[in-house]
Amino acid sequence: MTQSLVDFRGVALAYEGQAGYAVEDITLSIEPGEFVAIVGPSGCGKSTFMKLATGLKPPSKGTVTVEGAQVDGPLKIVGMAFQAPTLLPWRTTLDNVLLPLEIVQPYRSTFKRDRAKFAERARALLRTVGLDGYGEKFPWELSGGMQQRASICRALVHQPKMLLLDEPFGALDAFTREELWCLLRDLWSEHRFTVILVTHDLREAVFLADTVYVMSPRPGRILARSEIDLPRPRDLDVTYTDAFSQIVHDLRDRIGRSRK
Amino acid sequence: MSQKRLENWAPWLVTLAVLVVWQAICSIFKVSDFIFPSPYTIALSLVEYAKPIAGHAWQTFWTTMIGFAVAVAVGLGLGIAVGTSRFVYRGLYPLLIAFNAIPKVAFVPILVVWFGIGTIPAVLTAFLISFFPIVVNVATGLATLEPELEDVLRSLGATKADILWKVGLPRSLPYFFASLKVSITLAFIGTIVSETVASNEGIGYLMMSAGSSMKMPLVFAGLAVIGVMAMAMYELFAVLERRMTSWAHRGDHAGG
Repeated sequence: MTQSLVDFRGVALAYEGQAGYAVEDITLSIEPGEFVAIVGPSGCGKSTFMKLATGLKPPSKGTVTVEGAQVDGPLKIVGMAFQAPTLLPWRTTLDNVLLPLEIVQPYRSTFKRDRAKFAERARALLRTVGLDGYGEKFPWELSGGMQQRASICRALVHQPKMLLLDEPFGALDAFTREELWCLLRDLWSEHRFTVILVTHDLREAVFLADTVYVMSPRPGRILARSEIDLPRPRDLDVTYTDAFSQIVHDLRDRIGRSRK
Repeated sequence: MSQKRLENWAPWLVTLAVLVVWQAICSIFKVSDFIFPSPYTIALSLVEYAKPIAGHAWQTFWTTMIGFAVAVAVGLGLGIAVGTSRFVYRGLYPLLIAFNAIPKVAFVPILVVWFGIGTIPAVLTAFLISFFPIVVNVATGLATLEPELEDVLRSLGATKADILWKVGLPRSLPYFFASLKVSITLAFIGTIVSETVASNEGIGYLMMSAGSSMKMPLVFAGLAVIGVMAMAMYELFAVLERRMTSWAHRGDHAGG
């Protein structure tokens, strides 16, 4: 068996000043290039899981291992995007996308010298998400969906091995959401980075992921692991097939049971 | 368009209207110049005493500017400290609030004991009265940083200085400029208060001595000069604010 990228062994995390664990007894491993979705009711510690996986929070119990090494600080191989696009309003879209390169090594040290090259890369990325020509616009001149696309570009510009998405499409309308599902699918099949997608949209999870983990309400535990064997490449039409509905339905059942 | 033009003229029209009504009241009821001088007599004394007024105004102006400059430097420094460190916030904030509640005129006698009368107490009073809004605003701008954004940056290996420099400070610029507008007018108050009780120079002193020799029109001329100076400086910082932080005022001009 190949070495897994992320390994959780009996991980629990308690926040300071709060009784009980936010997440508890989490054991799972994620392979390089795997697309993982984590679903569960709100407040189940999905975001806590993200913080653990990126090393932003150390676990209270258990170990988190990434690339064979135990995590003891923020990782630098990750890109993150959230429900809110969190773009900086005083920077153009292009400069927003370039922000990680100003911070993360090794790009940081050569940023001034290679700015033109980096800007070209950022423009190419914007092109692939359908934002060609919007680089010089400010974020507040873009629609919500466009801002979210730019936010995903920012998460990917430093070519991270791991992309963490925290309900990235939650605030978008249904059509834009499905459009961005396909966008993410295409980006992933092209670059094959590892994705951890936190969501409460089961259809989203099943459509995109290889593996779906279901979490229980607080304290969050992994209730079920489900491998989605729908053939790839998946088209939006797959979401209307019986096989797809069956998987979504099963997962829905498990979450439903956990809430009783 | 004509609505817009009217809006642009509004300040002048309203000022003119106030002056006309004021003049009318004084003329119709024959109010004594000693009680409440009319705009006309104030204007006359402005012309008559133009030279001394200009001298005192200049004194007040640069005193205020020095005090204000110190306030900006100290306010920025303290604001960054309070906004970035929970420890400093917890420790210093109550003290700052207590300090802000003390009427600054109460400091003037102390300053006079330490530094004698004149420019230094005026500069210090201007500083003391005007730095607080800057601290609060800069600290607020820094403290209200979205946690997600901080996570994004930290997960890239950003240091605290990186986050401050790339996000925190640009983000608090609108707060900072807003506080400058408040602070500059407060700085004028500080200078005038100190000059009134402890100086031989400046508009505050001019008004005090004009009052004691019954030259009420000159006192009012002094008031007018202060008002105009403060208004001009406020407008300057308002323009600067719009220039520097247009992204935060995008509602003002369609499309940006």
